[in-house]
Amino acid sequence: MKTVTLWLTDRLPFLWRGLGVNYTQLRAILGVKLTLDNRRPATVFQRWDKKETDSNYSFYISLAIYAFMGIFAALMLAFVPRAALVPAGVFFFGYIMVICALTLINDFSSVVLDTSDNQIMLFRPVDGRTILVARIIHVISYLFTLTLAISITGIVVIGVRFGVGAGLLTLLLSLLMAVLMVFITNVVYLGLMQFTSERKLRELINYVQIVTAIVFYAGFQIMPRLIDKASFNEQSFLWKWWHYLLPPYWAAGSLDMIINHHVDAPHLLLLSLMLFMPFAGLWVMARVLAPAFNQKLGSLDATNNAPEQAALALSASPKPSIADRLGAWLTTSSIERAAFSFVWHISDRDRQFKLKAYPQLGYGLAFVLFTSLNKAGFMGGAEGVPINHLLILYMGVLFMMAAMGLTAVSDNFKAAWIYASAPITRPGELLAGRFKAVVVKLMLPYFALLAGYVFYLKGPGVAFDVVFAFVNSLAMLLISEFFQKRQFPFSASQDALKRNMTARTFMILPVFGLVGFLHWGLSKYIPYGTVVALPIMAGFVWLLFRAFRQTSWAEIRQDA
Amino acid sequence: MTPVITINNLHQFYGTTEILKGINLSVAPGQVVGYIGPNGAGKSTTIKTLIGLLPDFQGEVSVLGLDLRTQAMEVKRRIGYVPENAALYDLLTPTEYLLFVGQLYELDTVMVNKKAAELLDLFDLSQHANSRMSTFSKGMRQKVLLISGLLHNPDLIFLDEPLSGLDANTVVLVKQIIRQLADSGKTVFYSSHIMDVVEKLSDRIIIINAGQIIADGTFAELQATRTTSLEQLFGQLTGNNTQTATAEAFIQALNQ
Repeated sequence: MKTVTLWLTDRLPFLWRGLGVNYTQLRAILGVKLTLDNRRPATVFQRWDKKETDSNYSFYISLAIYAFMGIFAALMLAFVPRAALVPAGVFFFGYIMVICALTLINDFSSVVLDTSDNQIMLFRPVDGRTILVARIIHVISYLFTLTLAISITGIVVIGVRFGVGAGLLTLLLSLLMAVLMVFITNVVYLGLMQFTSERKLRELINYVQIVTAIVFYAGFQIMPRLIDKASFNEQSFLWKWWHYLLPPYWAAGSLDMIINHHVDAPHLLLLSLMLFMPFAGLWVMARVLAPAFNQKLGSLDATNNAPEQAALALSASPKPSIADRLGAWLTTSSIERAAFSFVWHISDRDRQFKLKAYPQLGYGLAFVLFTSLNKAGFMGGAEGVPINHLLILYMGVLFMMAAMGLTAVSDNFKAAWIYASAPITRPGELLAGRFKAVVVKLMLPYFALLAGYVFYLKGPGVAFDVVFAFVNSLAMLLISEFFQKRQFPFSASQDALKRNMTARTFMILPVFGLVGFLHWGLSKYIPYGTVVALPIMAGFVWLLFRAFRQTSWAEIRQDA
Repeated sequence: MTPVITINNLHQFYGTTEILKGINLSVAPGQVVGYIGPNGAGKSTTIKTLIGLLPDFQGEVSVLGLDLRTQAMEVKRRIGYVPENAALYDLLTPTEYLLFVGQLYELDTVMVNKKAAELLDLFDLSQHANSRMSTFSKGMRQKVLLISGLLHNPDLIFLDEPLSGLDANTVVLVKQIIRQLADSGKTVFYSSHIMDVVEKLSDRIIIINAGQIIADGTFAELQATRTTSLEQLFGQLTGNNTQTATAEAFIQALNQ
């Protein structure tokens, strides 16, 4: 990776001159960053590997997964008639665009807004432009690898069908698409940096990330449905004005022009957009946006270093919070109340938690919405079979389990020494407080949303099912906690969660299936089955919770 | 002699909070200047402004005769800075890290490697020169940081709490280095809140509190006003000489 990247950047002196970058420094920074990636257990692209094993190994696995998904993106390219290449190309390049965008949104902010570099580089004679471009090239080096993995099937397909030249063009277009996405994401971030106060920026980016992640996910669910089947016939594609605004159309149009020899004004415009925009974007980034970049980053860092004044302003409000009042009402011991308030507050404030938990819940909603729309005949296909409302209700518990797991981990997990040093004789009460906080703060509102949707679909007749499903969800959530070493609130490292999660999910899924199936059977075949089962189940939940609350020290896993 | 640092009515804001409220300062070359004050007084902010990290300041600042606003890059090239919180890429080895820093200053690679090896050896780090710094103690990192700040042989050196985390022997060594840097005509500007260090090391002591300079002079000059140790003097000057009473109240509150 390092050798290839540096070999390539060595070949582009004219580009660095054009961008006004000091190449000696750029090369030094880039070299160090890539070396660090090789040595670091987790790379900047955190999703790709969190394991403690060799980083490259899991990086290659995720590349393989991307390549596998790329096969599906390229399927249409293989089978559409030559004349209907444009929609297939739009799908293919759109897919690359979405994957790049998601990767960038999830991982790019941590690279661009990385203030850890500040104390090392900002006071040295390196200008903001060079640092910014080094970061971008660093990101692009990964993004190119990823793009190659996704597009390799498409490139081969095009190459075989239409000749090597067309294949190489596809490769070029895919890479340009990646550069373009870097530009767009970067402009959004740098734009935000220009217009908001630095204090709010991190917070804001957090929400932008959550929202865009959900929008992209939703968009990706819809995209295949938007491509009209009728456009796959032999007629030539009709260009509309808005096609010129969407990069996948630029790429598909360029491909169409070369393969089908459609050399006319619209196609030439599309090709020039495709060739011109990524480089124009790079230029704008380096020349226009970068000068203010260092300065903003510097003050971003100052945000962290000047907490004293802020703290003074905040500490003047001693009135009891919602968490404290709810806690006093819902918990039965002071330790339990402490854990309840603690989880409540941290889940409000911890960026990492919000960034992980809320998109999970959002995906859950999007998933429910789209599967049910799909089944209900969104595509104009078979309308019968509406989605079973029980499926919707039980879907929630999966995402709740993930959120529950997140309340156990923290970047700050070493602070958990406090649990060990405090004289806690009944550690289960801490777990009980944590459980109650998650149920009240996350599960109740989330389940209410799902229930509202179910009522909207089915009418008030399903009220009993909703209640029963809620009780069962509680039971499942508790059972899933019994399947693992239990953890105190925010006491484990992120690695620990990953190790735990997969195995646990596989063990717990059959249980979920069984409970859901029983509910379905009871409501369908046994009259008043659920009515009888409800108190039994409620009693079971009470027993489970009591056992959970009595968790002993031996059953608790501690990282710190 | 032309001063190496001239500050005229420097104001620095964080948001709407004024952190530096009109600093005026002139530092002559060849001095060791101790810049002291309580936490949050503006020590680090002053240093960060002087090294060009916080360009949004009001007032006039010139460093080494260069206007900080227009020639920040040239200033950065000619000063050295060792930050307080030992931030470095600890997955690199000291040799790799120092080479990287040297490249950022566009120094000759061969020269950097030779210099780095010698300096690491003088700091007793030669047997660790090629192992990753993630296993290093805070003192070892601080030594590497110190080298990285001096590698390009700057004329003016800013040290933010330079002795924190160092073992006793290294403290003595670093003090000696600071002294000899000054004797060879360089200027050292360092911040600290460890009073007795400042007392012995500095040619000149500047005390800052709540964004304003409240005392400035040699230790003897400052002491002439009061016959006390610097620590007590510091307490008096920053209006915080009630420590004994506070400590008593603290114990009282615990015993409630």
